Amino acid sequence: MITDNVIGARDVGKTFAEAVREDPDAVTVWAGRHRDVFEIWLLTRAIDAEHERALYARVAAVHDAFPNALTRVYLLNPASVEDVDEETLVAENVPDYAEEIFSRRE
Amino acid sequence: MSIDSRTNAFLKLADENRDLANRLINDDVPPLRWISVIAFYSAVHYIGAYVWAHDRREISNHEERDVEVHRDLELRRIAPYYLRLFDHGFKARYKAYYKERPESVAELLNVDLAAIEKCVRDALPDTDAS
Repeated sequence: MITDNVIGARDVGKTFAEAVREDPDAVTVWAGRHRDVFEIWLLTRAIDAEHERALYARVAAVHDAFPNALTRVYLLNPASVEDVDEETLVAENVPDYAEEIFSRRE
Repeated sequence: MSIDSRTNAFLKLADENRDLANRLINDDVPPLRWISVIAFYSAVHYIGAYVWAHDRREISNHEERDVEVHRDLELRRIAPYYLRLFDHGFKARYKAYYKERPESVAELLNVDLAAIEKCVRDALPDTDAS
């Protein structure tokens, strides 16, 4: 499968960000590209499993907009970690090449 | 009509992973994180069975499977469950601070993996849950 070269990580990230923007527990979206794969990170407030599924379901918007794009989506859910603050959680997961697309962090 | 031997091989691997994950959670064997990994690979093989049975294709990597799960209208219904298993399995393998609790692992098995297995088996002829 060939990744569409005319789209960029920002396009993919913005599409996903638009899909989750209305969710008050969606805090920050980053997007980046590693080789042929578009990567998206979503920092959330502490949410349960059902809420996680609802957010993963929004990934469909990316596939609808970019059917051939190879993607990976990572939720950074504070409820799934222990002994890690939010700043460290982000630093440990979001690489330097990722661009912040959307945030409601203060 | 019955399913072919290769589809059955995928199902056998999927069932083995599912059963191992269930055995580990029932025995309360730590660390729970590895149950997430096993559950994810069970899902990989269930989806492999579906794609082989319908298209006679094998998916070679996680990203292509992700595209397939969203492209196929039947699989798209279980895409959130698959993505959740993928993400939890990834964190379980690579992130030391990632914490699975007994109830969260049980949810991955009994809700996410179960939804994928049901979707696949319902779409295949003459299969019974083992």
